[in-house]
This record gives sequence, structure tokens and C-alpha cells, in this order.
Amino acid sequence: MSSRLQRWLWFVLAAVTVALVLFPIYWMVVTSLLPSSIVLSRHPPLLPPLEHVSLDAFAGVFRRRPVLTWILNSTLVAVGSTLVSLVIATLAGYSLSRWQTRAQKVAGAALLLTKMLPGSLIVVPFFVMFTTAHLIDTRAALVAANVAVGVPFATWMMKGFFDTLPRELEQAAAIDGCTPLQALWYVILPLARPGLAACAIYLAIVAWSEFVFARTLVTRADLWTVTVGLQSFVGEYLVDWPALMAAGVVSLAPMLVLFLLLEPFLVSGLTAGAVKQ
Amino acid sequence: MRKRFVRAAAAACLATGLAATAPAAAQTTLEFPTWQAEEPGVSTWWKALIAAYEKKYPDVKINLQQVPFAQFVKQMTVRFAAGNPPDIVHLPSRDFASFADQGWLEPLDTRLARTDIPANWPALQSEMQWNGKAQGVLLMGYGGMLYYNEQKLNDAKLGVPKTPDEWLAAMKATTDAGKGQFGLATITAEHPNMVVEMASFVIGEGADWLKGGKYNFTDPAVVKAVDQWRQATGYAPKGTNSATARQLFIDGKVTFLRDGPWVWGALAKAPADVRPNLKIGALPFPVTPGGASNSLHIAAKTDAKKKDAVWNFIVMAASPEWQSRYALTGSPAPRKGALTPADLAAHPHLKVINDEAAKAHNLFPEVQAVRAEYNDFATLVTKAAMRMISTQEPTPAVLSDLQAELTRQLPLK
Amino acid sequence: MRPSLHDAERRLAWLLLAPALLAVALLIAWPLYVIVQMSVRPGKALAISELMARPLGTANFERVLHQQALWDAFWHSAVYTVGSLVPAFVAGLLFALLFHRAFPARRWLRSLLLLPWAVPGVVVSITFLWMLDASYGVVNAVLRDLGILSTDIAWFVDARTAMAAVLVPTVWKSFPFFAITILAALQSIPETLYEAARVDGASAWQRFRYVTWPGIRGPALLAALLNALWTFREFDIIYASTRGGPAGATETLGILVYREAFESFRFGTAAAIGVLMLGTATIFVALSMRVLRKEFA
Repeated sequence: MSSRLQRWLWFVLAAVTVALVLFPIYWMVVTSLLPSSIVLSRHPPLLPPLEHVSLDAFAGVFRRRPVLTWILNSTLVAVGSTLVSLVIATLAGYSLSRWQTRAQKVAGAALLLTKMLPGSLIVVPFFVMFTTAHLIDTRAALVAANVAVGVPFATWMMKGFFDTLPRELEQAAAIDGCTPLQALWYVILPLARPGLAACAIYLAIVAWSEFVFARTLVTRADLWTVTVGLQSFVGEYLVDWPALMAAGVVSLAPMLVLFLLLEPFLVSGLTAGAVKQ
Repeated sequence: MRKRFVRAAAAACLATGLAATAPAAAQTTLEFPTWQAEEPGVSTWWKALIAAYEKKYPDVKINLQQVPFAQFVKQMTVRFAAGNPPDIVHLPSRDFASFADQGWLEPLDTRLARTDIPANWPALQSEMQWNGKAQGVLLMGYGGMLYYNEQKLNDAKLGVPKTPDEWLAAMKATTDAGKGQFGLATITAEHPNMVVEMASFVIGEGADWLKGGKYNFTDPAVVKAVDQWRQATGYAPKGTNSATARQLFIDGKVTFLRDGPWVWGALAKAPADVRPNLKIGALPFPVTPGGASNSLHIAAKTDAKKKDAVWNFIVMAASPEWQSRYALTGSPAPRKGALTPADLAAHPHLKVINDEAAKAHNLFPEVQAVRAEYNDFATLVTKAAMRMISTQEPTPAVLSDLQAELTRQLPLK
Repeated sequence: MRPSLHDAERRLAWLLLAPALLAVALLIAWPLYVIVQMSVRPGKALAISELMARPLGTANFERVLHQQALWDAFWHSAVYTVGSLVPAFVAGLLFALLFHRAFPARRWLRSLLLLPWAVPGVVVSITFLWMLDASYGVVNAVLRDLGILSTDIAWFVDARTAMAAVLVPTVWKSFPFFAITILAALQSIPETLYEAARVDGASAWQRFRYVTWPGIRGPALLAALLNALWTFREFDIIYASTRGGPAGATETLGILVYREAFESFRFGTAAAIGVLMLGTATIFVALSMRVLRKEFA
């Protein structure tokens, strides 16, 4: 078999399997674009009949529920927690990368701990602590909770990145008269931009998708995030599948865009981290 | 580095600062979360009442919020436990006792004494007593209703069932799962009302699973009634909760629905070809199961000024004018004489609703210890119910396990 | 005397670490302490302030260990973790092997393959709730049309199929992680090893066993450990689809902890279950570390 034919066969196999893998997303989108009468059928059409495609389900979703409020809340929490986590993790990752201190052990333990600590468990003391601090029903509580989960992993990611940057860079900067902090700001950080991007995307996706903290630490309906709103939708409109799928598409769309635009950074970031560990 | 830190900190502050507490208002805002904010029929009444209240008291605004029923009580419990209760407290009456038992509700005896409510409210208002104090105002007591699709019965050449056996037979005759047609729409997924469905059969057949203050789940009469319920779920689509069950009936996909009178308002949303076939009647049980549905309360922790504002709201809701309007939505209003004979004659569905409400036998537990821990009781019963729906285990075995579990986890003195 | 550069640097190192240490102390260490405290203070108190004032005792643990629900939850967690790890690993490995080949549009397809990872757990749940719907779901429709099914399976509602029903979305969401880590490891195996093996007459299976597998074993096993820990903790997918039902058929330890705390409002016993959960995870990690250390030594 010629090598060119082989390559195309692999392509077909890859394309078909990827299509199968992405079928759930496709199905969600298709259902959201069709009316209930077509969708609730014993033989659902795998290809949407184009004459029935409409955005009615989306209009209905926005009308029935404060979806824009949910999106705003999710965005604020994701941006806030990503920023805070990134700043903390960058400083800490740099420190761990450049100086061997006892803190290495603490950092390693903290990372391992967050990998073992279930969200549904830590939300219990969070609830207790935030209640005492009168932080229940605030977005700040969600930012804090996401920071708790994000900082350890992000620190390790940034450490991994800084490790790839040679010490000579700081030495050269020192010769030019920079203080260590100036070296970090003017020399190292610009080079670590891919790492920062990878970290930021990871943190943003995790914060946006976060559910158990958002559901427990916030009860007022005007502070719901997208995940909480979507889950509450399920009980109420279970038979109205187009509406539910439309809500799902709306919840997913920002993440898809973020992911597709910035995926190259993310992959290199995750794989670098994984291989180094 | 410092600049970046400052910039980042500023951005973070801005982001989280947008979460700052609401701007100080010159007026008072009362928070009112409820599951009825969007329920057809009664939500119109709430909104009209709120508009009238805000007109009468211009310095008070009421913030009506919708919370799905399935999560309502749990969310309220979390809020009360966190010391952050809502201002206007609307509760399903079955859960009232567990809130009162925690000392979370304001006693209302002195306030009630200054109104005509004690004189004009039905006996069920006594359900609002806890530890010798009245801690709520009943908003609705009801009898369960049978909703049926007359067209389907006519097609199967059946009349409206008058006994449970006739009812089950009618369900069977009108079920064809392959065509997506079912005899009954009932709750077949975990939902707070699953207990109500089961209890309706038990109480309806004249049995009682809490006889003489003791758990009675192994009583043959109870087992028989639960078995009937189990059979009935076989004629219903799986995985439905209360909202979807109603939706299926309204869409004309099922023959029967057992639910409260408040569903009457939702029938108006049925498609034009289905609506004329949807009727309401009495449940085919020897006893009408029902009880206190929901009530209004004030949280003990609310500040004094807000408490007065909330009380004014409750008094307005209880006034003759608003009680009449409530009764006209289809739900039985507690105030005596809310509906005139003329109203009843003009709306036959109101007559059957109010007759059943008057005859209703309470299906909710009346044992003090169970009422205080209603959530735990309901969780265990729901678990047993789900076992019966999703496995083939025999009913007597499941019920005797339930009896043992309840005796162990919720002992009755 | 001027402080030495070394001291100034050490101060800087700790200063840079300070915010992270503070975050960890406040938001991880302290809550853990609270969990342990709550687990050893029996008694039901819905008012949070009362809970910490109660006396010490082991009643929470005793109550929890006598509940059948706890042992069921352990079993369900085990089934859920292993049941998602194995298919995700195999799928990830197969995809990695496939994407290691050269073919047109490989970069694009690889990006698309990773999409499931970015989908929030709640969204995954509702999508599969729809696809696996008993009456109108596309999966049942296809299985019926293919003649495999004669009646509808109520995937999420039948206690016998519910676990399988929640495993599918979990595997779907987690296999991309395996795919990219194994692919990265594959790409670091020198091509010369494969050539040598081919020259020696090794079959495809032998090449995999003696060249590929040793090269990816370390990262793959590490990925397996991380995935196992992730699945063990996973909550969103199960909660949003079955909430642990029907009749507790999909109630893992994570779900049980949450329900005990926020539906039964027994924070003490919830904390006790949490402590048991953490203990299990710690033992598992300790055992895995031994294996992994050998890999990366």
C-alpha cells in the first residue's frame, strides 16, 4: 500500500472517530435548533431537516430564565479567580523554580492534597467558614473557593515553565544592573507568556465549569452561575429538550471558543507539566 | 513586578468588587423566594397582590424570586442554617415543623389576635402550631384531585373510574408505551412529592402508615395500598418528576394525573385540540387524601421593621378581597366564604375542588417526632419508593426494610 | 553590616511564596482542620456556631460505619473509578497511537479530540440525559433500529443500568486527558528504537510491547493515578444526572458526603465520611507512589 494512501486511510479513521466522539456536542446543538415536535420522536432525524431549524428554543430560554445574569456571574467569578490564582501561582512558581527552600515539600504536599480532596467535601468547611465570615451569597466566596482549588496546580504548572528558562537569563539581567524583581518582570515573565496563557486557560475553564461550590455557597437566584442555573433547569423543563439543549449550548459556547482559540498553549502546557512530573 | 501586581490586584478587586452588597436603599426591600412565582394561575395572583401591596406601602418593594420546587426546601434550610433567611417565608406546610423546631420562625399569636384570621380560618390552621405557639398562617389546604383526559377514556369505551381497581384497569387499557401513550403521569424520579403520591394511595384506601404514633409500614392494608401505587407507576413514563408529569398530561400524552387543585390553572396552556378533553374530578378512593399545602411565615432573625412589613403582606393576602381572588385561581382559599354560591355555580370545577378540600383527610405525618424530622422521614420513604420503581424486589420486603430503617434512624418515643 | 545577597534572596523567595502559602493555609489546611474537628464532635446542630462547641467523641464514625449506605458508597466509588479509568485509558491509548501516525489535518483533528475535556460536567450530564432518554433518546432509537433492543432501556432510571449510564459521560470527558499525555510520551520515543526492532523482525504487537509500552509506561501510569483521583472526587456528572439515584445506585462517596451535609444537614457525619474518603485516597496514593517511583527513578 502506498504511503500516501496509508496517510489518507489514517485520516479517514481519525476523522470518523473524532466525529463519533463529538457526536454528543453535535446532537446537543441540533436538538437546540429544532422544535419539540420533531425532536420528541421515536426515530429522531440524525441530520436536521433544515426547513425546521430555528432559534426559538434559545429565545425561549433567555425569556424564561435570567441566563444573561448567570453568564455574567460565571464570567466575573472565572475572571476574578483566574487573575488572583495566576498572580499567586506565578510568584510562587517562580520562587519554587529558582530557590530550593523547605517550601518545596509544602508545595508538593498541597498539590497532592488538592488532587485528593473532593470538592463536595471541602465545600462543607467552606460553608461553615464563609457563613461565619458573612461571605455566603457573595461572588467573593466563589472566587476564594476557586482560588483554593486552582493555586496548587497552577503553581506547579508555572514552576514547570520557569524551569525551562535558563538561570543565565537572570544572571545576564543582573550584570545589566537589574534587581531580581526587575529581572522577573522585564525578562522572565515575557518569556513565560505561553505558560501564563496555558495556566490562565486551564484556570478559566475549571472555574467556569465549577458546580458544587457555586451551588452551595450561593443561594440567591440573582447570583447563580451558569452551571447552577443549568442544573436547576433540568428538573423544571425535563421534557422540553430543545430548551434544555439550548441552555446547554449557551453554557458551553464560551468555553468552546476559549478552548479552540487557545488550545495550542494549553496542550503544550499540560504535556510539558505531565512529562516533567 | 509591583506594577503588575497592583494592576492585577486592581482588576481582581474590580471583578470581585462588582459583587459588593446592594446599594443602600432608601426603601425596604423584602426578599420573597417561592416555587410559585411562575406557576400558572397562582403566580398571577401573587404578582397582582405584590403590585397592590407596593401601591399601598410605597416605601416597600417586594422582590419575587422563582426557585424550583424540587430544591426549594433544601435551599431554604441552607439559608436559615447560614443565618441568612429570606424576608417573606413561604413554605410547603409539611416542612414547617422542622423549621419551627429549630426556632427559626417568629411566633405570631399576638399579631394573629389582632386580626379576624383565627375566627375565619379552617381547622387545618392548627397545623401551624408548634410548641404551643402559632408560627405561620395557612395559605392553602386541599384535597387531591383526579385530572383525566376524557377523549382517551371515550376511545377506550371507559367511564370515569370510581374505585382504585377501576382506575388501575383504566390505566392499563390506555397505556401503549410503544406509541408514547401512558395511562398515568406520576412521579417516577426522586422528588419531594414522591411521598405524597404514595401516601395518597395509602390514606385514600383508609390505611395509615403512622398508626397510633408508631410506624405501620408492614400493616397488610398499607402493603396492599402501596402495591397499588407501585402497579400504577408501571403505567407511567419513567424518570418523570412533578413538573414533567403535569406537562405530559397537559400535552395530551397521558390519561390520568393525580395532583393538587392548583394544576387547574396550568390546563389553560394545553394545546387547543387537547384542552377541551382535560377534566377534573374526585379521586376514586374511599377517602380523599389531602392536607395543608403551603403557608406563610416570618423568620425570627428578620429585623423588627421588616417583620412588620412582612406581616402587612400576610394580612393583605388573608383579606377577604384577595382570598376571593385566590379561590378563583382554582386553589381552595382558607378564608370562610371566600367563594360565594354564585361563584360555585358559575365554575363547576371550583365546586368539586372545594368539596374535596372540605372532605380531605391529612396525608402528611401528624406524629410530632416525624414532623420535626420530616426531611429524614421523606428521604427514607423516597428511597424505598425508588427501590420499588427501579427494581423487582417484592413490596412487603421493601416495606419491612423501610420500617426497620425508620425505627433505627428516627425512633419514636 | 549590610545583609548578604544570599539573605536578601532568601527573603525574596519566601516573600514570593507568601501569598500562595497564605492561600493554602487559609483555604486548604484550615478547612481540613475544620473537617477533622467536625468529624469528632457528634450531635446534630444546624446552627454552625454550636457545632464546634460540642464535646469530642467517636459517635459520628460509629454511626457512619454502621450505615449500609456508607459501604454501598465505597463499592460504588470503586466501581465508578475503575469502571471509568479502564475504558478511558484504553481509548486514550488507542487514540494516542492513532494520532502518532502522520496524516493530513492531524493538528486540527487532535484539537477537536480534546473538546470533551472543556465541556462542564453539568453540560455533559444533560447532554447524555437527553441521548440516553428512555422514550425519545437517540441511543435507544439507534439500538432499536439496529435490532439490538426490543423495548426501551430507561438508562438513568433503572437501578441496574444507572451506573453504566453515568460511566459513559465520565469516560467521554476524561479520555482526552489520557490521549494527550500518552501522545506526548509517544512522541519522545526515539524512532531509531522502532527501526532497530523492525530490523530484528519484531511484529507489531512485539514492537508495542518492547518499544512503545516501556517508553510510555511511566507517564501513562501517572496519568492513570491522576485520573483515578479525579474520578474518585468527581461529583458534577453524577449529581447533575442522577443525584446518586435511583435508590442510591450511583451514590458514590462524594455524593454521599454532599447529601449528608446539605440534604440531611448532619455536618458531623458528613465530615466523618469525608475523613474516611481522604484516608482511602491517601492509602491509594501511597501505594501508587511506590510503583511510580520505580518508573521515574
